[in-house]
Amino acid sequence: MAKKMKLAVLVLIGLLVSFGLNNGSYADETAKLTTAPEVPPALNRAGGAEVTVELETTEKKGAIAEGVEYTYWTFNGTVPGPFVRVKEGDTVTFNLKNSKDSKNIHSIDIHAVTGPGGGAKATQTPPGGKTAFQWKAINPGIYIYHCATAHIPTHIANGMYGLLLVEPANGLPKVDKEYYVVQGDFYTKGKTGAKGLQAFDVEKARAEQPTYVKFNAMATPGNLKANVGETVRLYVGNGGPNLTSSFHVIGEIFDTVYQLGAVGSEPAKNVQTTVIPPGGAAIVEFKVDVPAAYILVDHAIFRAIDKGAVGILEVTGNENPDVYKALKSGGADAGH
Amino acid sequence: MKIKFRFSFAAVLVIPLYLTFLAFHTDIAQASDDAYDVKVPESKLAEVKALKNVVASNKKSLSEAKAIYTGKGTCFNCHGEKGRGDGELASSFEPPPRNFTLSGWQKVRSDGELFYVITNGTESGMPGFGDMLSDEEKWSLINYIREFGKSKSLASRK
Repeated sequence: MAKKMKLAVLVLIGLLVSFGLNNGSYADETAKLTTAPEVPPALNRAGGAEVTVELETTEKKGAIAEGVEYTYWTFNGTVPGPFVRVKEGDTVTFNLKNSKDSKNIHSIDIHAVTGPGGGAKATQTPPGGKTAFQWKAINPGIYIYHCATAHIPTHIANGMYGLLLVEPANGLPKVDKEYYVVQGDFYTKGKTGAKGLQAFDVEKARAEQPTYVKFNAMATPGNLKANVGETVRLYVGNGGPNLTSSFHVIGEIFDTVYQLGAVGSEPAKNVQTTVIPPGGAAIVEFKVDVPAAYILVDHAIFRAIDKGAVGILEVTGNENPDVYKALKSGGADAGH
Repeated sequence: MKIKFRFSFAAVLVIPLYLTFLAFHTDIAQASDDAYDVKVPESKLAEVKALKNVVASNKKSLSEAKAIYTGKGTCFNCHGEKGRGDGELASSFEPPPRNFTLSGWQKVRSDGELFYVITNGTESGMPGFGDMLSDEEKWSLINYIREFGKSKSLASRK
């Protein structure tokens, strides 16, 4: 009897283990989402998984500059919305919820999606509603997603965009640090710097004359960080709605750029400034050799200095005089 | 004295006539160029015009419709709380959102046409609510939209 019991237990354990193994290779997963500038970790698995993504559209006030507030329309309460990471070959179920407190219908058009409106047709979601669609991640690359509900430019101008990465089948080369940055242009009734809660100005938007140009307008505050000797990868998107970004990091050269986010194409090497159109993205990589505060800018430089398109990558570590050193200049006779 | 009487007589008769004309004319003038354009495709127009509103317009249904108009229907954002086409987002649209208070427009649009537009949207930016609202909710909304065309109605009250 005891032998029979032992056998039964062994068979049961065997069944449980085999069940676990069968389901372990492509277990369903819910995508880990991150708020800019954080990026979810690389996917340490093959493509072909069933992935679920959950997003919620909300409308909430936040700072656009010191003493200046704006009512952003968001995915998951941040601008840009969360970074979504899936793998080539994955089947993605996208669930969109619109907060009951929203005043507007919202939706999502994901540029990585092959299908009607990039998902927008299936996701027109009233306040308090839920919608969903499923799509296959066929093309690797870094893609913008945005709201596509009438009046579409207004929804985008209010901050409804983010990035989705479809990792190539073999993944991207390993780097030390990854960060997520999205540029957007904003149009307020008041002039740049005018205090208080500012309303959206559609006329300025039509004229393409923004009062603010921002990186990660309402995301986790603080600088990007890296150590000397590390390789940094930035996923840089442009939500627009209007301006094309001339993305540049002051004091650095991009060793590698996946221009237009075109993963699979031959990347460009040794790039000073890369162009990122509205509704587009790029991946830039560079090794940081010298400690400094490196400033991210749109090199259409009025936008950076006067309208806010500035970010900081803080690199710490030992000085590297072979690469860079300041020379002591003299006094009056050190002139030109 | 006689002249004065004649003038007063003319004033009494002509001025109200002129004001009536002006009101009617202003109603047309206020409407954007496309106000009287038919939004339903020619091939479906007869079928759509024949649709009958299945929801009775009463205090209860109008109250429910108001909740949709100012809630999940999001109509007020563009058409305005009083239906004047002056909602917060109105200026984003060209042509502007429909002003439901225009009596001329109220007369030429059938309930069926409004049902079609609410369901399918328009090329000028109105989203289709085909999947977002039930048929009953759409018919209720149409009753509510009709209230904007009346001077004393639930819709025109705050």
